[in-house]
Amino acid sequence: MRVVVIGAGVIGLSTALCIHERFSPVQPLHMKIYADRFTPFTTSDVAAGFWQPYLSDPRNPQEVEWNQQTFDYLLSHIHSPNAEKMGLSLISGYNLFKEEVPDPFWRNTVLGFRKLTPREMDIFPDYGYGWFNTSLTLEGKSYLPWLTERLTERGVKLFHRKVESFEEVARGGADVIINCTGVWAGALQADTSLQPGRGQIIQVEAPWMKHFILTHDPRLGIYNSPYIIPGSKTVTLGGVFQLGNWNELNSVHDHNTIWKSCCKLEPTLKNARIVGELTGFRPVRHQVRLEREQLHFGSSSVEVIHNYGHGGYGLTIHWGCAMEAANLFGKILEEKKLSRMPASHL
Amino acid sequence: MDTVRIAVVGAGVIGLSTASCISQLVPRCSVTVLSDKFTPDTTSNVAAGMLIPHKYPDTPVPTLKQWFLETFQHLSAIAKSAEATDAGVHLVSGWQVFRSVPQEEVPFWADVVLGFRKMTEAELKRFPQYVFGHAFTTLKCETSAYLPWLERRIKEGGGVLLTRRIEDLWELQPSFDIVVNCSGLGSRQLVGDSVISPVRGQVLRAQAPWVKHFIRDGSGLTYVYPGTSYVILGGTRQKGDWNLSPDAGLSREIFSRCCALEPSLHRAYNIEEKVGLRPSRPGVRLQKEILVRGGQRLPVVHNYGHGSGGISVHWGSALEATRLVMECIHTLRTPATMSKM
Repeated sequence: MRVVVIGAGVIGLSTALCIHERFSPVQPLHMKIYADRFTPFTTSDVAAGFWQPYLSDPRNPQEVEWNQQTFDYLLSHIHSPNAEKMGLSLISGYNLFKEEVPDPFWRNTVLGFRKLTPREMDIFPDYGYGWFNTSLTLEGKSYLPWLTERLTERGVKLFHRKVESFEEVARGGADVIINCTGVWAGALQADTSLQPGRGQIIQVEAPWMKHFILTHDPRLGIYNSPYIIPGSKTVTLGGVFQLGNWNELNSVHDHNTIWKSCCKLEPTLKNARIVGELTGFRPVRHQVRLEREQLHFGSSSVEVIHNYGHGGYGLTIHWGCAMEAANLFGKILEEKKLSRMPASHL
Repeated sequence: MDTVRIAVVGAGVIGLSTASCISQLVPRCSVTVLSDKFTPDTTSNVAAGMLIPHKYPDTPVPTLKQWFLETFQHLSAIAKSAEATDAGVHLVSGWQVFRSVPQEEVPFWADVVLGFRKMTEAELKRFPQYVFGHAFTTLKCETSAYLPWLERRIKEGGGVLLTRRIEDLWELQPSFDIVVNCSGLGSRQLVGDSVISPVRGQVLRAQAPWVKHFIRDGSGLTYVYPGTSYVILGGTRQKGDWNLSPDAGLSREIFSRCCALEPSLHRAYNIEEKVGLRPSRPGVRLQKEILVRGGQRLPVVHNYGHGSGGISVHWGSALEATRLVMECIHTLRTPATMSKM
């Protein structure tokens, strides 16, 4: 079975690994990954890697499960010797609001979820309500190389290549294409519901920061409000989410917005040294596109599994989606087996 | 007298904070800190500076709780201010875990720290040998930054720091009017206190910046305390042991106990060993005394013997010592009452 995965962000690499781990014992797989960007230049590398879904219920209830499966999978690795190499660690912290809000659908997935006490709210004078919980960070700049190592150990080959069409990949001899092209999926097949949700982040050295602090303003929308997420070596400052903005350059205006609002939230940041600044495009969609499609080119056909459109929660949901993609792959294998059987057995 | 001349003996967290408190609150005084050791060579420098107090057999819990509360409030204000990083004060969350359910399920300090609650079953799963735990947020007061910050404040307030080993408190007369004794374990010799003795603590300082939570075994013997520049792994409690040299065997054993609590520590690097002698006493000695010799009187305020809880209660202790200093000043300034003593 010849499989080509397009895309080498967290979705492409984890889907490739999940499928290979599950099926290569029972089915010879020739798997290749084609991508025009690899770590550290993917969208996943810009993300802070903090596990937290959006606050509102997803349109597709399956996404609730996929988020939970990802958290449980990562938590089960937290004490493994691989955790640090994977860029995985526990982190606790604060979600802040101006007014009371209902608990999120993931309150029982994370650890120790509770409301903030009045004395804790005193730490954040601009906010009136909040949550405290323990979650995880999974840093792309470590996780992607770790996934790459696991894949190359298994004989999966990665190629630096810009794919122009599904047809070119099909004609090159692929039986199954896994489409993990993220925000650029529209170049291979038009998708009007997919848009960039541009984000910009500032990386600083602030090793005294031990908690994440995320603020929320319903008037501005998700991630358009300051956030501070400590990582293993640096702290990510952010808070822009601009729909439809394809500008990949860092914006001075956004830098100033992020810096001012984060320093207001956490005055000690004024002493932090800035060590980097990055822009990335969240692949925004009303829900994740995770489904099969059969494409026909002349007399031949190719099976495609789409797995893109994870918005600002790609790392958060990646493993649940990878497992679902593997389920779909399993169905494809079943169907191919059945179609090869002599007619009398059908 | 116009300006009261106050000598503070000792430049650990107790000496410096008491000196700072006195210079802020006592009008018309001069403050001089005298010590043979200053940061980074004091006992306080070895301590992790986590605000988690412990009980002393001879210090009443309400007093202890008040000192802890005053310290927590004082440091909270610093943590929110622009001084936080200079002073080395920041919030940290984590867990205290127990192998068996403790008699006191809710400690006396639970409502002083932030967000105190019992750990959930899901949280305890990460600690397979433990059956009960506390989750809370407290402050870390990093002495490597805090002590130099206190020294700067003392100097800005007109105070003086002198490197000098004091063998006898009477050396300070007649240059000083009141002596504040914050000499910790040194009081054994300096004032002949046979009740104070060392409890040796060995710790490791390591780099493991991905560790964001503190973890403490309820017995207090094993702990992981992440800070700004390093994480502290501990520890030991060796009574009556004066040895300041690290023991390699103990270091391996401490490392192994800490890795059992936090397996990711196996990848910690740049590991250094440190030893400190906790100034241990059944109760903190916080009281006035008038020394008399050949017709001379020397008022002394003692503020020492905080064991492993120095940083946790230091500001409350300093406030009380300052109050006692003010009482001494009042006595000195009203000669009529002296004849009644």
